[in-house]
Amino acid sequence: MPKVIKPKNLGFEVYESNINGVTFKRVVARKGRKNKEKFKIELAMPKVTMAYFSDDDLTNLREIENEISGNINTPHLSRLQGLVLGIKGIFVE
Amino acid sequence: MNYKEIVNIILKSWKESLSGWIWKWLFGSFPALCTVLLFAKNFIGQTLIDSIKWAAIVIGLFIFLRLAVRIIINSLKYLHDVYKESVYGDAIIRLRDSFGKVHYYRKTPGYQDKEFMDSLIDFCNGLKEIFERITNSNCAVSIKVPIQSSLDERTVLKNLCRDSVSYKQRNTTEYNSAKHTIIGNTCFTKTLNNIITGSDKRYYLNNDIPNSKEYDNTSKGCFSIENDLPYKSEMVHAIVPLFNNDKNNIKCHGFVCIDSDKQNVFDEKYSIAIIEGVADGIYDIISERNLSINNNIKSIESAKSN
Repeated sequence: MPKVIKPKNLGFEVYESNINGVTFKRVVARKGRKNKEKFKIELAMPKVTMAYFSDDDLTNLREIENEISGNINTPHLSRLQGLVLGIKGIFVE
Repeated sequence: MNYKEIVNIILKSWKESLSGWIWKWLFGSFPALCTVLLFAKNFIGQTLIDSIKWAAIVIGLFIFLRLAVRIIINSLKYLHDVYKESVYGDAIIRLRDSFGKVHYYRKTPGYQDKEFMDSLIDFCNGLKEIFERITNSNCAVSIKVPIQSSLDERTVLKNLCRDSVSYKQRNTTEYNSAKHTIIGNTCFTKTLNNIITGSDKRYYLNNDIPNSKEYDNTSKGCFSIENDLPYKSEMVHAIVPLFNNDKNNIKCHGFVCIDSDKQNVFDEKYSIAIIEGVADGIYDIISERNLSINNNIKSIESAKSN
């Protein structure tokens, strides 16, 4: 069974989110503070905003990646090149 | 031939071969010196003169042996330094090329998605080449960005691109169909946590993944290795600007991920500095591209309304 990670253990949570992106804010320990006070402290801390890529946009970009990377032939090392690299590794590393 | 370096190595080795506790032990006091010089006389039955000659020969050989060993060690150290220097020197040249390519595209009118992707893939390929040389291992590089999914911590990240080698190896059906959430990956949660707490460390570094107990990764089992990962070290950096005026709201476009099939390969000084610089560059490209997309959408909408 996959391990369940509780959002409260992350140290941050969603502050606001919409179709364009999500903003995370820090979660501080309560330590006897009232909710309002805790929220005020959390808001004063740095927040991180992540802008979404739309599915269509990403699909289009991935197709371009396929055009570029799909046509690149990666050279494989010959046995001799591998041996030379190995020997170099032993003496130089 | 670099004669100056050869002379330096020999001089340094000569000094080192004549220093050390062994000489103090052999000649540190008059009785010790007598013991050495009279060793052959007392134990092999040589005359006093022969015994001194034997002691001189043995000590001479000993110095020669120590000198030979020191020369070998110092030569290897020198070669290692030259190799390392050339590795980082080559890294600078490779990154110069990638940044040069990006700036060229940005200066050229009609900057399109093909050029955008080409520059990102070039960054990935460059980082792969650089880190393979630095770590002497097989590395893979990818750029992951958030997509519209559930509006909470379960935000899903997808690959924007990979380096051209791992593109063919890592894009398995299992990997592409799995939901790679922020919450399900220790590297992303830790990196975001570091940013949110105001730390300068906007990265996650794990040099021993197989022995990390509190390590979650949604890619486990997505590759040919059953329920395991094809890498043992990992370095993830947030795509954020290196310097930011608004420290209270930091914009993050995703993550640059580099992994290696060997343990303990990434260092916190130079490896991080390299990835930091690249993440800053990628941030600019993505920001610029998203801005132009948004402007296009707005202009289309305003044209429709008119």
